[in-house]
Amino acid sequence: MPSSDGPSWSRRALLGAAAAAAAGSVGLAVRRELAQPSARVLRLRCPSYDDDLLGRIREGLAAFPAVAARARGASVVLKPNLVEVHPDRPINTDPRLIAAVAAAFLEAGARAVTVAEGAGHARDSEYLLEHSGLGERLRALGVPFVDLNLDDAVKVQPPGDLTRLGGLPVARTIMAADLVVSLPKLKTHHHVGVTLSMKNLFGTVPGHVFGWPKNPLHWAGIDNSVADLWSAIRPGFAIVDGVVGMEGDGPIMGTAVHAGVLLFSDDLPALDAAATRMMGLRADKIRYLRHAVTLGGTTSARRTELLGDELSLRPFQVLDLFDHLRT
Amino acid sequence: MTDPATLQAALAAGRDWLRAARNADGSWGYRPGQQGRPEATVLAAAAGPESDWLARAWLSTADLGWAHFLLPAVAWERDPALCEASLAVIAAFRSEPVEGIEGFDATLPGWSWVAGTAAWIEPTVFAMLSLHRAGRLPARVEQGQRLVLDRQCADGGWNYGNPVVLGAQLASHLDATGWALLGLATPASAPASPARQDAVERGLRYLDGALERPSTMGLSLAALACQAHSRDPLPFLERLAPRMPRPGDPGRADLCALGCAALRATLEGDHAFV
Repeated sequence: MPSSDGPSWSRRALLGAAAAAAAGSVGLAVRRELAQPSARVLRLRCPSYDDDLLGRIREGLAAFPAVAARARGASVVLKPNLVEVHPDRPINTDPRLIAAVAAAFLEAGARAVTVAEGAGHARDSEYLLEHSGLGERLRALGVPFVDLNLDDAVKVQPPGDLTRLGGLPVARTIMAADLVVSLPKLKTHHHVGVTLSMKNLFGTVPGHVFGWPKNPLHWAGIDNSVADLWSAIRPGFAIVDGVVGMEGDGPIMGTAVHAGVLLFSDDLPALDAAATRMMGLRADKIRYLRHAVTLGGTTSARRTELLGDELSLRPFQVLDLFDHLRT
Repeated sequence: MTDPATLQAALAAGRDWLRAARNADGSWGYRPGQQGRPEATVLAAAAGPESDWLARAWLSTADLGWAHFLLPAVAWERDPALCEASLAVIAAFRSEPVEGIEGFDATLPGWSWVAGTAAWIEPTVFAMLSLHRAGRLPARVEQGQRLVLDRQCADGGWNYGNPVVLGAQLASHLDATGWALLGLATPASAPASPARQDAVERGLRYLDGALERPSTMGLSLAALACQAHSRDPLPFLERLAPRMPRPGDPGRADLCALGCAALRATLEGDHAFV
C-alpha cells in the first residue's frame, strides 16, 4: 500500500528503484576495484628443493627488472619465515631456497645481503639456525643473520594506524635496508586464514620490545597489525615458498602440501591475494587483504596480471572456522 | 671424564668476553657495540658474585620494562635498594586474563611481557624468582607456580606458554623448559605434591634433548635447572664449555652471561637465580 504522505510508487517502480540501487552499489564496487593499481605476479613451477633453485630465482628476478635494478649496489634484507624446528612439518621457509635467493641477489650486484628474522615463539635463534640447517648454508655464502628480536627498534607510524597503538616498533635492520624481500611459506593460518608475505612481517617487530609471542599485536588485532606493518614497511619484493606448503592447522601444526610452485611479485597484497586464490580460498574474505585495499593495495584478480607457468593447485584444507574462505 | 680445569677456563673466558663487551656507561647490549639493553645488562649480573657485574648506575636510570621482573633475582643480595623499584613493579603488575581458551586456564594470573596483555611463561618465572629471592609476596609466587604447572606441554616441557591451540598439542622449547623448571624450584608453602614432582621429573627428562640438539641458551638453562633440582648438570656443562666465547669472538652478552651463571653454579656453588 502506498504511503499517504509520500509519492505513490507502483510495484514495478519499486522493483526498478531497488535494481538501480543494487546496480549503483555494484558499480561503486567495480569502480573501486578498477581503481586498484595494476600488479604482476609470476608463478614458476618448482617441484622440488633439489631443482635448480638459483635458476628459478634468476628467472623470477628477470621478470621484475625494476627490482633487480634496485638491488644493484644496495643493502638487501631477506626476511624468511622461521618459526620453530620440526623434523616432519614444513613450518619454515626452506633454507635451500633462502640460500638460493641470497646467492641470486649477490649475483645481481647487491652490496650486502642479510638474512633477518625475529621468530615469534622461539627466543633461541642459535638453535633455530643450527637445527634448521640455515646457519650452515649462510656461513657457506658468507651471508650474515640478524636476530631481529634483539635489534634496535625504530618507531614507525603506519598511515592507517589500524592497531591504534600510535606507532609500531620495527627492527632498525629492516627500516635501514634499501630493499626488503619477504620470503614466506605458503601456509594456511588458524587465526587469519592464510600466512604469506604480509603476515610474515610480524617477525620484523623486536621481541625485546613486544615479547614472545608478540602479544600486543594480537591484542590490537592480527589483521590490523599485518596491514599496519605492511603499510609502514612496504617491502619491495616477495617470493613465496610454495614448493612444499602447509594446509589445515597452520602455521605450525598443519600438514604438508607438495604444491611445487614459487610465486614472485613486487606487490605484496597482490601476491598474497593471488596465492590465496591458488590455494582455493577467497582472498576477498581475508581481512588483512581487505585492509590493504583501503591502504592503496591491490588484491583484485582483474587488476593482477598472472605471468609464468599455468598452475592449478588442489584446494588447501582449512580448519572449520575458515569454511567461509572456501570458494 | 669432565676436567674441572676445562670448565674453569670456559668460565674465565666467558667473564673476560663480557668485560670486553661492556659499554662505557657500564651496560651491555645483546651484542658488542649495541647500546645498553635491559635484559642483557640484568643477566650480566648473573655472571659473577662480585659487585662490579651489577651496572647499578645504568640500571637505576634505564627504562627496564619487563627486565624489572628479573633484576631482583640476580641482584637482591648485592643491592636491595636498587631492587626495590623492580619489586614494586612486579607487585603492581597484573596480567590480563583470557576467557574461553580450551586446554589450559588462561585466566590464571601471572606476568606479561607488556602491560595489558596475557601472562606467559618467562616473564612469570622471572617475577617468581625475584619475589622468592627477596622473600616477598609468597602467595603471588604460588599463583605463578599454578600457572607454570597448568601450561606444561604434553611432551613434558614448556614453550612460551601455549601448550594447546585449538585442540592441537604444541611442542616445547628447551629454553622455556629450563626457565619453567627454575620457577618450580621456588618453594611451595605446602609439601611438594606428587603432581608437581611428576611435572618436574617430566620437564627434566625433556631437557635431555639439549644434549642432542645443543645451543648455548638451551645447555645453560638445562644446567641451571638441573642444579636447582639437585640433578647432575655436568653433561650439559661439558657441551656448554666449548661454546663459551673467548675475547675477540663474536657472541651475545645474554647468552654468555647465562653460560657463566650455569658454570659458576657448579664451580663456585652459587646459583644466580634460585
